[in-house]
This record gives sequence, structure tokens and C-alpha cells, in this order.
Amino acid sequence: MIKSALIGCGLVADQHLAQIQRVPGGQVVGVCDTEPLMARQLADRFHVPNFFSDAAVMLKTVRPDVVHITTPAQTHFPLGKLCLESGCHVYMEKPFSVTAPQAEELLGLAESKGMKMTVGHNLQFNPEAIRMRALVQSGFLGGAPTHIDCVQCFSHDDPTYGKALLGDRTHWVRSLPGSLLQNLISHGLAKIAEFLPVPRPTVMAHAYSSPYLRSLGQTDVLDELRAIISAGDNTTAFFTFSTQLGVGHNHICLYGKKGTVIADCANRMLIPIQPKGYKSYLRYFLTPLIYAGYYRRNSWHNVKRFLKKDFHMDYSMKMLIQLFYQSIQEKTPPPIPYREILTTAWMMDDIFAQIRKAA
Amino acid sequence: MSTDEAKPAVPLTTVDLALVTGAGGFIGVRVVEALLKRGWKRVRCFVRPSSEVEGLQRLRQQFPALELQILSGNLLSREDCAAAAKGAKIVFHLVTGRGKSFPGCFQNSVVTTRNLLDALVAEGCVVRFVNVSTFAVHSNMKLKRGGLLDESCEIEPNLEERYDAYVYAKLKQDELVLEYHQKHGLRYVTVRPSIVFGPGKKAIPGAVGMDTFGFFMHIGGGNRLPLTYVDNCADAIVRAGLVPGIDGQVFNVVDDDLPTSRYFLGRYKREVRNFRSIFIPYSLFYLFCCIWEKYAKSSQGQLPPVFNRRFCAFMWKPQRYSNQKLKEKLGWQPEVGMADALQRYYAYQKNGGTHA
Repeated sequence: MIKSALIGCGLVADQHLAQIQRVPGGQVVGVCDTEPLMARQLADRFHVPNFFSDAAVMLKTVRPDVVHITTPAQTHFPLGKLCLESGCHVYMEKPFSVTAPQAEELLGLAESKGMKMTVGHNLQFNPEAIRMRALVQSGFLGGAPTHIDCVQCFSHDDPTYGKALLGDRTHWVRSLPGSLLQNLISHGLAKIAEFLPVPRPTVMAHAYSSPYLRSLGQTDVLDELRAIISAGDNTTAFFTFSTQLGVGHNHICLYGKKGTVIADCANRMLIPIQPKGYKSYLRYFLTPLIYAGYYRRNSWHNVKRFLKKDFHMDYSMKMLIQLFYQSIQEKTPPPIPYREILTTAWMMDDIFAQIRKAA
Repeated sequence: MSTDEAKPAVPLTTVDLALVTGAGGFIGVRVVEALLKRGWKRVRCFVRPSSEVEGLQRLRQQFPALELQILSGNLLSREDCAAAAKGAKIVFHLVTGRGKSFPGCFQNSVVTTRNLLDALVAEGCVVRFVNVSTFAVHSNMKLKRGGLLDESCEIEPNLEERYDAYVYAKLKQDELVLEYHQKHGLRYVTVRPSIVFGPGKKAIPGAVGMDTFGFFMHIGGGNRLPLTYVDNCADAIVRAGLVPGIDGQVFNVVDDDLPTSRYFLGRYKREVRNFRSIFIPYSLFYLFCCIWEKYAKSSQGQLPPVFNRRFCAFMWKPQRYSNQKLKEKLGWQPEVGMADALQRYYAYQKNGGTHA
């Protein structure tokens, strides 16, 4: 049995509680929000026995094993410290912290206290991401990836977040050093970080406001980002964040010496590509058929998992929570290595520093 | 001080300051207009920073002699609430959270209402608070087909099964207003509009059917649609603020001569845009919702329980509707008849969602 608590009863809190309740042995003992009404509504809907408006009081009263922190990013550092110092493991929503030094300090504190932390880069635990990881570990690429291409898209039409941000000039996301980008790009960068050979790669970034935001006069928000990442002496990556392509594009492509693998997160597909060595025109005739087979198998794979009731929309979050809880109970390493959390944080710091400089 | 008797009502006069929250919205502008037409001399319109205020500016030009304040802010801010509440004697509270997110709806309906009520209590001069809720907080699970749905009907007792963020938030808002009445003697009236339609609303009402699965399912069939034309609804809201002796009362707002769903859709297709639709009988769709609801439970939410029996019954079970209380207690009559209202609605839709 793991006793969980949650701080921050806003939009993402529902997902956390729903998934914790699906994890074997997961039990939510308290929720907290500085706005008591928000805490009360969450407790009411998820049948949580206690709700609080003061995190310190909650930690003392219900003594949780794990705390999920789902508050605005500016509060992650102080709340993370509070929870770790109270002897709780921490699941921190993304972005892990406002700056990389804060991330270092939090992870250092966790280690010194014998506590564990993870971050809400849950998309790394989507079914296709897990399959991709296994494929890479099996040597499919022929070693570490030579190049990585990651595309992450977002739509301003998103009613719960996009419209709220654009409609509110005082929205907390706007006061982050990287504004909108800081709250979103860690998902994509974390996917890249997983496959980088060094902890602090070199980053070159270019960001601008999309024509849509320019038309609204909201040029204080940057929503288009292109980054080139160079790690070690033989790994590079391109990262694209865009709000102009709809939400249908979210993928990562790993290029290796022997093969290429595409994980399409928007459609939960994994396409493993290895050159077959067909000669002449056969290459053009047979390769598309082979690709068609890959796509067909993905479709069947997804249907089978759905029929087995193992294909939830929030599959990745449940998986991450489950693996994190397991690591606590079995005293094994957490599901997301701290090196990846830090690499992501450093890349973000570098990107925002360059954007600020360019501005 | 926890009852009506504790604080005698002070009669309102047309120079008293009226506050309308959500004044830039579909109904809000009409409420302001209705107040001004009744000779109300001082109206404060509270709008979101992102709201379009063209309609309110137009009213300002139309009624230059009257004091129409436009105050931009966010009711999640207590400072903004204090500014909105300052000197307000009558409040028409139309702000609401919409969408599928429970916390989002709750925050924009309940937290905003609490902030405003705190500011009004601190200000201490409000004489009446008109709480604009929704007809959808009712449950008709216990009503037979063809039964009468009115103010006396059950309020949704099982919000978990209903799984509707908007209904949840509005019910909690109603509870909060009642709490402020009991604790602070707040004088209030609750208005529950049915489906509000008219120029400015683009979508076909959900009670007609829906296109969730990529084609239009017409589920309403021969049901009477619980509609209220936006101007008639605004008039009811204003009357609920001004008529004396109705503190604590609830009024459902629905027009006369309600069309059937089939008539509404057929005319839409003829006058606005033709498209294919498939008629699904209520009993068949109810069965679908039962199965979906069971599956949602057994699969631990692999499909969210958005289609469920309570939702289905409320939307598409054939019922009758009453506006008797509204007519008797508020002296309300729909100023715009249904034929005229429908004509205006279709003309607006035909113009591609722009005013003719």
C-alpha cells in the first residue's frame, strides 16, 4: 500500500487521481490547494477523505508516502523541498523546476534524504515509447542513435489551456522565463534526452511568435521553436515545437547505423525500418508494401490492447505512476533517471537564455 | 442573521447601481439592454479582458443619457471583485465556467461566485443577487415519459453518474449561494434557463442531436425542445431581479409554443444548410448509453462515461415543460413569440453566424 497525496487541484489533478486509483495499492489520503474550494471539489469527486489548504498541515496530518505536485511551475521548487524534507517521495509535474540549478538542488536533496523523485514526462511511457525503448535496447539501431528528430505540436484551440492562457494576460505561465514554451517543451526534450550520450549537450535555438499570435497582438508569447542539439562527438538532434500544424504531429525518429525507428505518439504507432537490400526497382515496389505491413500491425496491436482494456488515454501516466511506486516499494532506481531530468532542464535553460538574448 | 426575516428588503429604484457579470456574453448583453430599456440609470458591466464589448458599446451609444460602466477584470481576482461590487445594489450574476474540464468549470463558476459574494457581503449594500444557474441541474430519471419537468422536480442526486462538468459546477454554485443566504442573509433569486437560442449562438442545440461520431445523430425525434429565446430569457432574468417578494425562489425559463426536435431540424436543413442525419430512437440510444456506462466502469475509464443514462434521459427523454411559475410570480410573457424567434435564429444561421 502506498499512501499518496496531491498538492494543486487544478486541471491536471484529475488525471493524477484517476490514475493513482487504478494503480494496485495506490490510495489517495489527502489533497491540498491554497484555494480551499478547489481542494474540496477534488476530494468530493474522487472520494478522498481529507482536503487541506496548507501543504505543511497536510503533510503532518496524513503523512503520505508520495506527494504529487501539480501546481504552477514557480512553486515546484519550494513545495518539492517541503515534501522531501517531510520524508515524502515526490512526483513532480512538468516542468520539473523553473531552472536547472533548482532541479539539481531538488534531486540532490532527494538523494541526501533517501527519497525518490520523478517528473511528469509521462509520454515516455506511452505504449509506443515503451516499445521503442525495448527495440533500441535490443540493438535495432546498431548502437546509439546518430541523429534524433523530434516534433511536438500544440494547438491554441485547446479549451482548457490554450484559450485560458491567451485570454488571461496575468496567467502564471506567462511569468515563466520561457513562458508558454517552458510549460510545454519538456515533453519533447525529455524524449530526446533519453537517447543523448552526454548530460549537457550543446543547444542552438531559434524562437518566434506564430502568425496567429502576431494577429492577436500577443508577440510577448513565443510559440514556435526550432533547436539543434549536439551531444558528444556523434549524436545530433533536431527539435521542433510548433502551434501551426494542429495536434496531429507528435513523433520522435531515431536514426541509427543499421535501422531507423519512428514512434508516432499522436497515433500510437511504432515503425521500425531496416534497409532490406532489394535491388533496382524492387526497392520501390516492395518497400512500400513492407511499410504498409508495419502500419497494419500497429493498427491490430492497438485494437488488441483496447479489447484487453489496456489502452487508456492516460495509459502513460498510469504506467509512470505504477513504475515510480514500484521503485519506492522495491527500492530500485526510479523510472526516469535523474540524469535525464537534469539534461532536459539544462537544455531548457540554454534555450530560454538564447531566446532572451535574441530578444 | 440567517433568514429572510432577519433583514427586511429595501425597495430598489432605477438609480440604484446594477452589476451584471458576464455582461459581454450571449445573454449578458441582452440583460444589460433589458435593464436599460426599463429605465435603469446605472449599470456596471463586468466583462473578461478577452471579451468582445462591441454589443455593450453599441448600447452605450443607444442610451447616451444613462450611465453604462464597462469594467474589465477577472472574478478569480478578489481585487477585481471588490471593484465590481462597489456600490452594487442588485447583481445579475451570469458568469459561468464551460467546457469538459471539471476543475475548469468549477473554478470559473464556483470560485468566481464565492469571490464575488465575499466582496458583496463586505460591501454590504446588495439588495438582491440573481443567481443564473441552469435548467440542466434537474434530473428526470424519476419522471415518466411525457411527465412535467418544472421547478419542483428533483435536482440531480448523482453527479458522479451524470458526469457533466457544467452541471456539477452549477449545482455547487447553487449550493454556495444558499450557504451565503444562510450565513450572511444574502437575498437571492435563482433563475434556471433552459436551452437559450437566438442570434449569436451558432450550434444546433444538443437536445436535437449530436455529431460526435462524425455524422449527425438525430435523437430528439418528436420531443418538444425546451427552448428560450435569448431576449425572453434576459427579460426573465431582469424580472427576477426587480420583482419584490420572491427571495429564495427558483424559476425555470422556457418559452411557449415549443417546437419539436424534428421540426427544428427539418427547418434548419431547409433554411440554413442541408446535411445528412440519421434518426436514432431514444430507447436505442438509451441502451447504447447503458452499455457505454457499464463499459466505462468495467474498463476503469478506458472510455470516459460521457454517454450515460442520466445524461441521455435529461437530453432526450420526451418531457413537458412549464413556465407557469415564471408567468404567475414575475408577470413574464415571452415578448418574442416562438415563430418570430425561430425566424430570427434561422436568418442568423443562414448568414453564416452573422447578424443580418
